[in-house]
Amino acid sequence: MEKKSLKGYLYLLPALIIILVFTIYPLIKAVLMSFYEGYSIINGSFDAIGLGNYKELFSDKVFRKALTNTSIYVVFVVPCSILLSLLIAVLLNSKIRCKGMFQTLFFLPYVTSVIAIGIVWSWIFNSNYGLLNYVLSWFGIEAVPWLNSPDYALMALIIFSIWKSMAFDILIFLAGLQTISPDLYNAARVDATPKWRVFLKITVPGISPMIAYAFIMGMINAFKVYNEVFSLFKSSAGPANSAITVVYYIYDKFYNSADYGVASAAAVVLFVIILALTMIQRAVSDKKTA
Amino acid sequence: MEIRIENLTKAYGDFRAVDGMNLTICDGELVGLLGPSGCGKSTTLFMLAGLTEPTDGKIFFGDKDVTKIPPEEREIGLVFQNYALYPHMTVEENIMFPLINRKVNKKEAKERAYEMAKLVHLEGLMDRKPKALSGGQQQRVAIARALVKKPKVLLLDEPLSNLDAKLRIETREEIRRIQQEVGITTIFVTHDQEEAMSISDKIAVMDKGVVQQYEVPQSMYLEPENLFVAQFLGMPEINTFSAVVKDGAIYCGQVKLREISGLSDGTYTAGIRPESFEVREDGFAVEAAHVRMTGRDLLIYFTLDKEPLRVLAHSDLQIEKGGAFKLGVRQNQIMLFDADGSMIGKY
Amino acid sequence: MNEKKIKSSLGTILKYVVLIVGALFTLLPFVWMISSSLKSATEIVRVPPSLFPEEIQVVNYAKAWAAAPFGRYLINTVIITVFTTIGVLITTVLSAFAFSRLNFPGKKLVFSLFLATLMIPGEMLIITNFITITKLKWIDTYQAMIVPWLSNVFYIYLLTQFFMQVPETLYLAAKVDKCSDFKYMIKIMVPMNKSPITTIAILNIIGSWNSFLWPLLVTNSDEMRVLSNGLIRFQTEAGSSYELIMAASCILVMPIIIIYLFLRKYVIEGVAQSGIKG
Repeated sequence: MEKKSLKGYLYLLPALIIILVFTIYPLIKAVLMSFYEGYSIINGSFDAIGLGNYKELFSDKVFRKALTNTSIYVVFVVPCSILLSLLIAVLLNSKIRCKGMFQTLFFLPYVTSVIAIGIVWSWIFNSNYGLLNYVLSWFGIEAVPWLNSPDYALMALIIFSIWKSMAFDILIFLAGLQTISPDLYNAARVDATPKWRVFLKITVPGISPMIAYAFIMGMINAFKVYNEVFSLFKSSAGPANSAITVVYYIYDKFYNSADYGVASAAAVVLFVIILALTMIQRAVSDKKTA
Repeated sequence: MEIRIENLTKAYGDFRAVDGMNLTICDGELVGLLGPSGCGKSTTLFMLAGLTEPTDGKIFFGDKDVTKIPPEEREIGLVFQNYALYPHMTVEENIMFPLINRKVNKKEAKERAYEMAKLVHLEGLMDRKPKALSGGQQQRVAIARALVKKPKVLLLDEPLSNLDAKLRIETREEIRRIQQEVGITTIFVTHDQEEAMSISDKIAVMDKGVVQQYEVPQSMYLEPENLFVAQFLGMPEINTFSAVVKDGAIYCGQVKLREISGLSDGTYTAGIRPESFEVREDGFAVEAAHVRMTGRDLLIYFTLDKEPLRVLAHSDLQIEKGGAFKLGVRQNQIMLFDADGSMIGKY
Repeated sequence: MNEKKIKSSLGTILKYVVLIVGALFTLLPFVWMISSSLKSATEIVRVPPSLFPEEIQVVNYAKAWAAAPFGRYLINTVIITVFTTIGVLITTVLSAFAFSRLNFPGKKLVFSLFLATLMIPGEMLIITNFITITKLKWIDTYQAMIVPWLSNVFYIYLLTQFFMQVPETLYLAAKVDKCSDFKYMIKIMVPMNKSPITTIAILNIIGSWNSFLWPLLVTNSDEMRVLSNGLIRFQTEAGSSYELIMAASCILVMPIIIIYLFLRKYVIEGVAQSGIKG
């Protein structure tokens, strides 16, 4: 309708500048830095361009550990969170009292500072005075060194993460359930469909886009886990790096070791993985809506 | 304010929404732009408002060429189909909005808003939000907002289409009253012929981006210039069939309808309005295929030598499906059109 | 019939049991945090632990407050949260208005570019951004913690969707009424979209308040630290005085929980949008 003019850019300018300087430029720069060998941030000089940083990265046991940890984390956290959340969301969506109160409550972990609540969890996991070990002692289980032993550190992180990620999953499942037309349920009732069939044939297909979304987001978030580690293990990556994650690795490499090249290479690997996951998510959701 | 449209054209690529339109609207007239959807009537209105830029042609308000003038400087009032009231503002704030933008001081703006409210009978509703009003009331707020800045021209886009049937009749009378009271040159767009005919001084019937005819409503109905106008106006629609003129008479198939003179032999398109038939003893015999009772009238379907036709008869006529009766055509009520669809005459 | 009734009421009971167990699991860390923060130094290390403190020790909060400059941290956190949120609202409204109402060359391209940045994990940008901030000599300043966060593509996307739902005729009507684009944005678009704008404000407040890694990177001195950084530091310093650590955690968590409880509708709607539009 209206004539084109450059006025639109005047409105966009503030956001555009911030995005260019703090998103687009650092993205390009990080990719470049990952290929610079012997890079100096003081004068921007480097010795050579090549795959040296990547070679170093993939031969680094700590980085491989970070990838392995992320995989284990994904395998446990994502399905557990989704299944538990699905159960609670379906119950919340049925006729119950105090629905609003329950919903408010279940979403609480999402808005809470991971740092603060992670510290609380570290207190719960405390091997001598922690609540968890006390509860386990009722069942005759001896004190577990959750945070001090490489064998249990990752498991502690996983328990904390399930607790944390359920909030988001419940919320989007509930939102998804509310988009399913009540007519479908009424029709099923008229046809005397058994409840489990209603669940499998109406509910699950109805929110399958949300499940797919939760799955991919869970995986993406798994690669970004950082604050949880920091707060659980008192600013370390767990005993003997046993709970190290990809982002923690990046932070440690550039901030503590000033190894910008390898840190950038790790950042690029992170970017590629997340990009691939996002593409899959887009493809899945496009297929659903088409 | 007289409005003159000269050779106005709007093209979207190859498609010409409005094609070389010419029209003159006299000062103080209420004109309806009537046509089926996609005929270019709304595009014309938006070009008059200055919201759509014409591809070609000129628009004059009085002697002034306004073609290149932006909407806010055209001195027009515009009422949208969905009224476009600002939902977060009260009625008063909505009506005052155009004045505040024109830097009228608050006190005067308020006075003028209340004047307008009185004109459109909205006193007492000034503190309400649009959501709390009925459709008819919202419509009147929109009109008040359009008129408050004392425009020279009032433009209304399908002003009644969002109202229910009863309110529509009430509101259109209201529009007519307000327009008469203010004496403003007004153009409104509609696809409803009854609406257009009942309140307009003149109607412009449009099709395919071209004005088909521009006339006062009654003449337009009685003397359509072409087949499109004849078919578009009138409910139920006019009967059309191909008629043959030979030996000084008009025939439908083998049935002789009327003796005439001064028309060369050949095939024409004939149009007879359903109400132009009359039941009479010396007419041609037909058989009722269906009978539809509409209340005031009976609509009877029949065939005249294989030509399916309809007649509108008074509802006291006693006839059932399959019943036989005799029909004639009232004097001067057979319209004949040539191959291009132009009216040749009435016989 | 009777059997059916029993079955269905058993089902109802089971439903509530599952929900309540879930709710307890969710609430547990919060309850434990508050309870622990009110225990005495001896009670906190007692085995078996008590669920509620024998004697409520509000003094723990004063002790924690005095043990580290939490007042300063709090002021810093508030400053950063307030300025970031105001800034984000300004850039978001302006951009959403440009994308939804204005016509400019390359609009589609720029919009796609904006959306594409959603796929970039913010965590990979910290390296270069840290270098940029160092070069600007912004280390240990408020602007280092505020400026990089003054634009958020997800919020722009969200608000653009809402702005697009405002009927075009309102814009045309305003134009006929001699209303400029900027005035239309301020007087019509913003008040009409109070609810999504509030959502964005609250989501941003939560995000800023809880931010951790970036403030940690760009600050060195104690005076510039925000609450979350201060808390982590305090965790190491306070050793096993868990009652004080829990009190400090409460100080960080409570303001957001209170905001959330009052405005939960906006928070929940905002996050649900991200899932449904995905």
